Amino acid sequence: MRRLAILVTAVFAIGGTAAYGATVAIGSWHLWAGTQTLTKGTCTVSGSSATTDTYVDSSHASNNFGNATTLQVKPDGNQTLWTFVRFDLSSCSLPTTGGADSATLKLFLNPAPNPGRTLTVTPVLSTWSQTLTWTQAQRLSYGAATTTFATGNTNGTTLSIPVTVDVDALIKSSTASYGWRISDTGAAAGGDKATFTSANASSNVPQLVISYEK
Amino acid sequence: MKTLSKTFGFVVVLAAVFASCAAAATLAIGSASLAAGSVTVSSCGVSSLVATRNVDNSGNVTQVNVTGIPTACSGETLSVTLTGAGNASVGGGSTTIGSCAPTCAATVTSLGGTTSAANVNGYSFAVTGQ
Repeated sequence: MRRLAILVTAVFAIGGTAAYGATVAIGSWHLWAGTQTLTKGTCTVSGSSATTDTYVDSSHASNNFGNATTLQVKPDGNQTLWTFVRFDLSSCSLPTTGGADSATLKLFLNPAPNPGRTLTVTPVLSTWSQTLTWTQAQRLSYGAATTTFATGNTNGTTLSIPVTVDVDALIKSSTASYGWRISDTGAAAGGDKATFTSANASSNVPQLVISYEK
Repeated sequence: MKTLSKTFGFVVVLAAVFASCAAAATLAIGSASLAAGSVTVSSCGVSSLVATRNVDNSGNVTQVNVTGIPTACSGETLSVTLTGAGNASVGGGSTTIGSCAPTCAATVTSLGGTTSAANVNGYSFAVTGQ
């Protein structure tokens, strides 16, 4: 009788283990799986033919400075200066199905303000040309500020300013790029003017460096 | 001896019954294959999916947008894995596909951490539901 009990117990144990150890319950499930592979690319835009840049001056509201070799920024006061810069991205053949991994605006600061300033980058949403004036700039459409950056006070410095979110949106929307306004919203002070090299200069011109995916 | 024979016979029958039950309810999974009886596993009509992602100004992925999902997939779960070098996962998340017509779009916003878009080489998708 004892042998019988042991045997029955063993059979139950083996049978139970085999049954439940390998059982997977599946109802009427839907299942689909797939992948998408991305291709990466880079594009650097610079030069006078691909760049439109200028600055405007509140104290000379009807003048344009599109042929200057500098771009200037100065806070509110007796003379406010705003810089405008935009790039023709057609040479990049950017896809509309991808987006920007990163986009960096590079500006060469010389001379630097002293002390350094914090400048604001704002996307421009309506068209403008190199002959833009202060008066005309008041009628342009602007988006929310993209970012701010510190100039530092070192002459001859290339500043790298991230504008990824704006370029990503441009790629997705396939809309024209009207670039950015760079302004100083801080309080006026001595030595507060920041000066950058424009596309009219022979070197250290503005650049837009884009890494993208498609 | 007669009692022992009867007992042995009983145990054999019992074992056979258990074995039958086990086989009927068992889905055998080997190391590389899957077998089932009358279980139905089908797709809700997906043939391919396309994703785009949004980034913040630092280039980190903030959300993944998936389009082209058939209406029949409404209510099912979409899982997206962001894959990097060597197809390793660098982030991902899932969402329930909402009601929509003629096709659905889904957005995954919780991606399990900060992922640089530069490190994303592709997406893996899974649509599951009952």
